[in-house]
Amino acid sequence: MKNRTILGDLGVLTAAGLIGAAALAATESRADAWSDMLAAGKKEGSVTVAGPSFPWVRNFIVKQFEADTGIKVNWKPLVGGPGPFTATLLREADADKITTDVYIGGTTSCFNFTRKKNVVANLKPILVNPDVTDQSKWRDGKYTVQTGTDDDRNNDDFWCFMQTADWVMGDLFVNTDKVPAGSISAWKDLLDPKYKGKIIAHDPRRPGAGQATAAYLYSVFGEDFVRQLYVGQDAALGTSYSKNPEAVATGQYEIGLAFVQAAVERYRKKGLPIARVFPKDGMGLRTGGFSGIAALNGPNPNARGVFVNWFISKKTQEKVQCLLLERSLRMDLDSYACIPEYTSPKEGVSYPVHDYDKGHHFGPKSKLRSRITAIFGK
Amino acid sequence: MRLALGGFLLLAVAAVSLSPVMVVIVGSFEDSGAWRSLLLESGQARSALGYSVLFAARAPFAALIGFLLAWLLIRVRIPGREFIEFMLWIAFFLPLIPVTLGWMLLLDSPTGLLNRWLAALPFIDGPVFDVSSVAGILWVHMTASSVPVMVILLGPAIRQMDASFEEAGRVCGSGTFEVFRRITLPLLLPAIVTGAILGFIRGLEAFEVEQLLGVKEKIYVYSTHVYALINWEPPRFSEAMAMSTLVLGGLLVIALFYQRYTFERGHATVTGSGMSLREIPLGRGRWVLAGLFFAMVFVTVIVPIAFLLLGTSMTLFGFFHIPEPFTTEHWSTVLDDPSFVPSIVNTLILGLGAAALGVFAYAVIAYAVVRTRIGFRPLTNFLAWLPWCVPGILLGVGMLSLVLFTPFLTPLYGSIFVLVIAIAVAQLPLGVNMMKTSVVQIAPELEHASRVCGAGWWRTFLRIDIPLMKPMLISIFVLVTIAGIRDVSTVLLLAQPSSLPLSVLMLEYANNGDVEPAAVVGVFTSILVIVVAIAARRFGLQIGNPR
Repeated sequence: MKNRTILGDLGVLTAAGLIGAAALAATESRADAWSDMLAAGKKEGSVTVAGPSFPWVRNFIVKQFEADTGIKVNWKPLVGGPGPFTATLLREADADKITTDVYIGGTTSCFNFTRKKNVVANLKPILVNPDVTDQSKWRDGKYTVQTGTDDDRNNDDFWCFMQTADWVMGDLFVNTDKVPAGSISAWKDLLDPKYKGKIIAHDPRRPGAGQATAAYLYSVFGEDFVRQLYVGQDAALGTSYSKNPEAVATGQYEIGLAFVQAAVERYRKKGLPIARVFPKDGMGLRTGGFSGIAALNGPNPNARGVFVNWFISKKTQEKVQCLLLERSLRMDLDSYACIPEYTSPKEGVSYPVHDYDKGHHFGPKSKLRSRITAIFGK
Repeated sequence: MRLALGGFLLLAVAAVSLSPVMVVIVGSFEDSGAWRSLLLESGQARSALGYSVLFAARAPFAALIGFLLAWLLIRVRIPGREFIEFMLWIAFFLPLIPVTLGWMLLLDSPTGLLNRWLAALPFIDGPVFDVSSVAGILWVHMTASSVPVMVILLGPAIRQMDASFEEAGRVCGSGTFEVFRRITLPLLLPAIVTGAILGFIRGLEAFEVEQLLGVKEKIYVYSTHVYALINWEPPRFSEAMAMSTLVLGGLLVIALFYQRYTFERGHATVTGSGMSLREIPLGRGRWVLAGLFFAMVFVTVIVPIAFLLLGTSMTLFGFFHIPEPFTTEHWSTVLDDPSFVPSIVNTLILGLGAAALGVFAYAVIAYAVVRTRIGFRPLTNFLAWLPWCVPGILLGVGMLSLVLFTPFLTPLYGSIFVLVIAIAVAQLPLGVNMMKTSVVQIAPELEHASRVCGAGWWRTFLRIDIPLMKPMLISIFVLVTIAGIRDVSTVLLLAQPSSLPLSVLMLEYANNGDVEPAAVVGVFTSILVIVVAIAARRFGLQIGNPR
């Protein structure tokens, strides 16, 4: 018995030693791979990144990435929304002349191209920086990635898109001077005739917040409710992320749908009466916002790899989450204090719909998109 | 030989103007439902077309007002007229986005400053002005571009008019008004009609003002609807292209009418007899006119610029009642932006490059169409109209496809030269048609005299025609430069990080709602165009220099 125990202990020790050695070798190998990638990236000299049209995010990334790696960032802002960028990218791909190396942005448009093999590169072999490879530092102990390609949707080894933040969408805001606290406890309260003509929403026909919230409501309450809320209540459909919250903050409209916190905070910080409301029958949509990242088949494959690793590193995520006001999925950050409280998921609350979920995207959201002009008009 | 030359010119014009248009036409049939949706289902598309025509219909009024203003400025010794005319140029040069922002700060409902001031009056209930309305949009267009551009375009034609026609009228006993009505006006009618038609077409393509002021109130026009379709999810390219094809059809009718009109008339008003610059004595009336002109300049130029400047220093654009409403932070933001200086350089290259390339090309095409007997002239003339038939964003799509799928052009992709070509192509209709009005005004006998003296075609063109067309050449150079500085929609899809101009940087800020730094960029863009205007004046453009 004793011999067996000693043998067993020896076996365990040997196994542990082997695993440790293998882990060490793997770490060294990754460190080597990272050094090699960095050196090759420096040789390429620059990386072209398409990202959200937020100048303050662009400024940080352009300056800091070059300072950290010596590689220049050519920033391509998604001006006018992601639609024009997607159109250009797909045409470039057809001509085999993709000029962008990395995409940072939302999921809806990303689903339009990230599964096309001639457009997107696999993220899995790119993640080599020792700072990012320890998945235990990420929520639920793993990366949150979209997998598969157009040809092979079930190919789990092809990581086409990685989500780096997670938060609760700004689905419903009110002007607190006009709408008393507690007067909206359920989404159906918004159908009260007294709110007719007093609601403004981000246009659901465009990708982004408007479509995300509309798809959420479509998923939870169905088409009839969406129609009654948007059409029946004569909701104004605005396309500006800042003008819509401004209209609620100034009392021009009493209720706002689908706002982004970066815009809302401009007004809230100045003491204007605008606040998030959480109806009990639908506490909100979970989303990754603008935090998605994809590697594209641009001309600088190594600099692209360096950028992706740099972007999801602890140091960069600390800063980027505060610039975008989107809570990072990394769990080892020093602080999350810069994130507005109303975007953090609440303990014990169930959020059944996630905008980045493949099932939601190709299910209710896809269905809404097919019905979008029938509901909201052309 | 004439046929070969004509064929070469036709091919060259077709390559740059027809290719992008064909991309749009073919694209409209890629989705079988696009036309049905456009013609039968889309209420917004029909409404957009209606609003487009309504807004574009300002052009004839603007042409008449502009003609009257230009005529008064040139023919009446109004005190300060050089300054007035210069300010009208500035009004037109100023980029529309910042000017619109200035008007929003003043006239927005209910937060506009003027509305707030008026609300303090006991007999006023609620906001009086609303710039986000049909009237507001028309006001911004008329004051910021439609009327000033007519003064700019019609001024050279008035200056180039032959003295002998009016003198003959006066010798026969006609008074000033009679001469104006029966001689000046009919002689300049082609230029006025051209201005009105061009203004109408430009009106159909207008984008920035409608995008800023109209969308919230569901006032869509052709270009903003196309922009919305491209930004929908999924993008509705076919529908956008079907709409453009429909408008293209309408514009063809206008183009054919215009061609017939201009080809049926001879317009030689510049002969060897010298220019008519006889001024009309108005006595003290000219001071009254000066007062009216200065009031107009104050309202249309000074006020929006002042409010734009005010907007750059506001903590929150339009919020005067919050604690600490003013800040210098937005200036620091823009000045620290690493994209700022490169985008200024790109903007200058874009504007000046497009103007240099364009003016030469426009002059050759216009001269060939009007004055030579080479083959395919009507077709070449017609093709030169096409780029205005599609909105900038779709012209960008067409140019993108052209560059990406044409092997010898592909190496240019990503460089600023593609943007330069795109702007030169986008301004082809303006350049060629305005140049034509200048060429038709030159009497053929001047060229004949040169030929008789032994000069060849090329020498005659350089020594006789070009100097006579100089005012128009410089006008067009400046207009194309300014278009290059201001244009957003044409370059949006083509611009790469290394070629981003100021206009796209401004949109990047404004897009996210950072109106204040966008206004700062707008101030720099405005400074740039004013510098161009002053430089052009030094190089001989008759800005604010009526004699």
